[in-house]
Amino acid sequence: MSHVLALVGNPNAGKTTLFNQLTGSSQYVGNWPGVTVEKKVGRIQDLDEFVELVDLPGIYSLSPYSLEEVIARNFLVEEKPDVIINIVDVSNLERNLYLTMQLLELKWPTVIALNMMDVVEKNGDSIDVPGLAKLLGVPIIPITASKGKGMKELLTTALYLAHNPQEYQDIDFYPPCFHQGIEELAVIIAEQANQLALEPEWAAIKLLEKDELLLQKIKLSPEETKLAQAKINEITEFYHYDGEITMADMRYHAIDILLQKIYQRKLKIGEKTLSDKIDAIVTNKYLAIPLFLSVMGLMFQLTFSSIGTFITDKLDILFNVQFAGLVERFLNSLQVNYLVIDLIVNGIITGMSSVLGFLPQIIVLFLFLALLEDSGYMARAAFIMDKLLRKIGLTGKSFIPMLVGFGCTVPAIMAARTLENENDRKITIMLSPFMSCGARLPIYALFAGAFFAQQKSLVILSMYLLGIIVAILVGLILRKTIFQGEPSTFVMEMPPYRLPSLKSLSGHVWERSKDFVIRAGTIIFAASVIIWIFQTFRLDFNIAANQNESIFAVLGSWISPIFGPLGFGDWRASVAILTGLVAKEAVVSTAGILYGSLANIQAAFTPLSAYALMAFTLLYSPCIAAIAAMKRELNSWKWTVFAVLMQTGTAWLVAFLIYQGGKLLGIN
Amino acid sequence: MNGITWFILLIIIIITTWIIIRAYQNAKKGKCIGCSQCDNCAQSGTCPAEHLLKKLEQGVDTEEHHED
Repeated sequence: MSHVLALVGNPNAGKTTLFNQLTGSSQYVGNWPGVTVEKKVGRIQDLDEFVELVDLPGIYSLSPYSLEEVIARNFLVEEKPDVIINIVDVSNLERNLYLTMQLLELKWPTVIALNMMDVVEKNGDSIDVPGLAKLLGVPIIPITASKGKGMKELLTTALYLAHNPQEYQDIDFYPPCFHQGIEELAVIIAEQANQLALEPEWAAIKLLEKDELLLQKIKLSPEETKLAQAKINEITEFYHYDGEITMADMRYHAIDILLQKIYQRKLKIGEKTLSDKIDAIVTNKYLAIPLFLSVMGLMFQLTFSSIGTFITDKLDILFNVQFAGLVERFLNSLQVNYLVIDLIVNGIITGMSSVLGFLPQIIVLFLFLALLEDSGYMARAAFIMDKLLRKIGLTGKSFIPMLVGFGCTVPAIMAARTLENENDRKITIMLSPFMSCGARLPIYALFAGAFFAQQKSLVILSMYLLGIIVAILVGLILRKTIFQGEPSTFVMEMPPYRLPSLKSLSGHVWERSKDFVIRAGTIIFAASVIIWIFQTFRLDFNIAANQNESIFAVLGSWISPIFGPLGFGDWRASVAILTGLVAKEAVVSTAGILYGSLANIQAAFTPLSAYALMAFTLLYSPCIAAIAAMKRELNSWKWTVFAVLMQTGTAWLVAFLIYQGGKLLGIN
Repeated sequence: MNGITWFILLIIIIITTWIIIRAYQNAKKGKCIGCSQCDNCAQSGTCPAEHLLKKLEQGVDTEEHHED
């Protein structure tokens, strides 16, 4: 005998972890037609019978508003799994129970897996689990999915229900007068609902909510339509709201009563926590954005104007003067060919040290970012950005991948998978590269240090803000033209503020710093060797008498006219931009090798053209790895090429406006 | 050029070639050469945004509550 169990829950409730725990290595990833977001179907091992577990997409409700909700709902209603396993994140109990109420309206054998009980206990709260099970009329199993706790009990209970569906208790949560109205409506549409294999009461609730999917399918006679509409009017007039709001109100009211009975809070109702008091200021209508900018400003000030810069300056002397000198003397003593010495000292060491030198600043910046994330402030930043983004027609959820983008563009592009709406997803994939990734930091640090020593942190902060502003503007244009439609909703709960643990902070900083060093030691190493070859030899592979005869000079002079109007028509700058396509840090290593010294860079640029170059490198095409990620996530060469051209075109336009606008204003 | 020069040159050529091949293979998979995060998300399907979202909502170290 075979059974199908469906795993349903809110996004981030722990569904996939639970799925992996239950299915082990037997999982496979399956795609539903027309959907690019991955879903999983797996077989539960070590059982006498064939039991299939279907991991449905994370959803907040069974309303037909997002593709995920439609898929999950269609599966539950049409495929009718033997048992629904509803995973509930108890740390966000109220929000999770809203979906639970809708699942119970289906009147189908259900078992609830209460996940993350340890978080509730840590908060000093407690839940009466047997009491909740009694009130909901379904078995409830506390689990800790990440540690595999409660898996056996959950599976045993689910299989018992699969074998004994008659054990399912139908409990009504709503007031008797409302329930009576729904029952009467159900009687009117019962015949048509049965023809669609739907539970009449569930169909009645959906009809009350003016559910589009049901309205398309159900074929009521004119007489039934008239009677049903009269009944719906009767219910909505009684409750003074439309059907959808009435239903939501009923569910939240029922949840409220449930929670009062089973949830013991450490704090009294209405009592404000320290987090609430801080939030009153931090998320204040008028103070939120100035405070957000001040926090970011302080972070960059500490990173680039004090601690980080001090160590970077010391490292620069250590690498470029002492270490390079030592290596050169050693190789000379071995009578190594002068060209190979030049390759090692002026190619590899100069290229790598020009990037590695910024490691202290990277460490300090990521320490502050980790501090903001772990303390709970970043959640507030997402909330502030949500309000801002929604005003211009973008979903606030897009800010989460963008936050990831401050670290690296590749996971940011992948992070767009969390967006339910296909258009939102495409827009976010295309906008994420505008967020300033860690690899771009050395570029800003180099040019801001060379041209804006006094306002260094302010200039770097302006780059981060420019990325966000351009992303918002381009997003707005895309939303109004190519990707028209309404943005999807974003539900997020604010965590309490916490003192970050040293372990978590050091782990975060270590991961980021390790990435940076590995990239400098690998891709920048290879890039430095190639850059040195291209700037040392001529096209006929004889040694160039000077840089201006080199292969790079020839290649650079072909593309440099494009950058002339942006203020950096120098072939060396053009080549540096080109090598940035391999990895953004390569812009710095190339500049280090080609210009040779900071003085040469200062001679080749003006502050205005340096700022335009920084803006261009911020916004132009991301690195090859990010382009490949875009191709994979967009699953289309057409959209990938469009994204790269759009990003590079935007970069050119913004740099042009900065340089030419600055010149018009008399700035040099 | 003496033997040491050839030896050093050979080492540089081997390392550079290896890095380029690795970088090409990784880029084809859509991940950076040094990015451990991509190893987690690209290979195992773990979504970094869901991880971050959970972290932001919980305000705790998600290693303990690494869901989805």
